[in-house]
This record gives sequence, C-alpha cells and structure tokens, in this order.
Amino acid sequence: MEAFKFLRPGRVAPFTGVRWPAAGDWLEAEQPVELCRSGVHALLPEALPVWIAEELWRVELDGAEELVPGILVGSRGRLLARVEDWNDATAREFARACAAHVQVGTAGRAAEYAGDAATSAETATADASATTVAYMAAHAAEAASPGSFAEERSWQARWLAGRLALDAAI
Amino acid sequence: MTRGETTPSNELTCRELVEVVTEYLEGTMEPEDRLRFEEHLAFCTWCVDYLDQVRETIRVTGALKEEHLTPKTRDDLLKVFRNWKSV
Repeated sequence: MEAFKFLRPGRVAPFTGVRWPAAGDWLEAEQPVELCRSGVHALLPEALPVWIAEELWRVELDGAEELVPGILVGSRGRLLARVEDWNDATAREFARACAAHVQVGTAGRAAEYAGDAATSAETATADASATTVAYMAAHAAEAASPGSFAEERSWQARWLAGRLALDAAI
Repeated sequence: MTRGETTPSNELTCRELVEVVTEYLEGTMEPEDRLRFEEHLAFCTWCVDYLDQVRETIRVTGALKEEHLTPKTRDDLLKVFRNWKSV
C-alpha cells in the first residue's frame, strides 16, 4: 500500500530517530505493529498537516493497517521517491495559505490566532514552523466557529494534496 | 475532519506533557496517548527541547555508579529516597 512519510533531513524518522534506508530498500519492524510504538508508520494525505517535517516521501508499506484514521502502520516499508515539490518555498506558501484562509471575518481570540499565524507564516520553513502555523490557523477557525478545527485541518490537507499533486501519486 | 487527529478539547498541553514524559520514555503509555503526545511534539519545539533534555539527563546520569558518589552525596540521596517513600 502506498502512502506518505515526513522525515527529518537525511531520511531520519522524527520520533524514533531511525534512519530509513535509501529508496527501494525495505525498513523492517522489529516488533509486531502497534500504534506509535512499533511498526513502520506512514500517512494518508488527510493526516499530513499534523506531521510536517523537512522531507516528504512517497512510501510503500507491507501488511499495512490503518490503526487510526489517516495513519497506517505496517510490518515493513520502503521509500519510493521524495516529493521534490515539498521544500521551504512550498512550506511557506502552505503556511501563508493556512493563515490567509482564516483571516476573513475574525474577531477577538480568533483574530489573535489568525494574526499570530500570519506573522509566523512569513518565516515558516519545511519543518515544525509550518506545522505550527497550520495548528494556529486551525485554532483560529475553531475560535471563530466552534467545531471548525477539524474542517480547517481538512482544508489544509486538501491544499497540500492539491499543491503537491499527492492524490495523483498514489 | 482530518481523521485521526485530536481535537482542541482533548489535545495535550505542555504542562500535561511534562507530567507524562516518563511514561512516554518508558514505553508504558497507551497508544492513543502516545499519539496525542507525539502530535503535540510535532508543533511544539519547546517540548521537543524538553524531551531532548530529559533524554540527555537519563543518558548522563545512567552512566553514574554508586562508587562515583561521595559518601555525603550517597547519604543525602538515601535520605531523600527514604523521605520520598514515607510520604
């Protein structure tokens, strides 16, 4: 099954610190798969805005299960190809889009969150800074209209999938 | 909804993360809680730094052996542990 994986520079997994092998070579899980503990984890496009890091890869997982919505865990996985369009420039573009999407008609706390997002977007890069802007923007949406957090996250995911042509990649 | 993500009502705060960091590092946290923990780490660089500091502290202090302690430090530590267990 094909999916996506955000990695730190040098193909390093953000939480475990495991360095993925070069594209094409399998990374094997040492233990039975378990969410956030063991197994090879990857994402469907809808979960991408939450887990942004420097490198975005298209991956293939073997024996993958969707243990929680949007997050796949398999017994082994391999990198197929890097999504070259994901870089600091597109990350800033994404951050600005997230901020702009919540600017209209906001007041009070929503406006504060939206303002913070707009300011932070100007220095966002392809790392946690872009994740943070998206998070702020989702909170701005929630503050403006309770219950809108998830909807805003969906919009962000669609933006990424569209800009990076991810749906066409899998 | 972006599926699989926590919502504002159940997302982890920095203070909560600090309280459960040992469980995270020892691998005793429930999978759903690990997910919330790592979602927080994905955007909070302060907590990433904090986690790195805790890991480094464990690495450094884990290399200490009883014979490395002065008698006074050893006695002080034992006193702390006794008082801690009696609470």
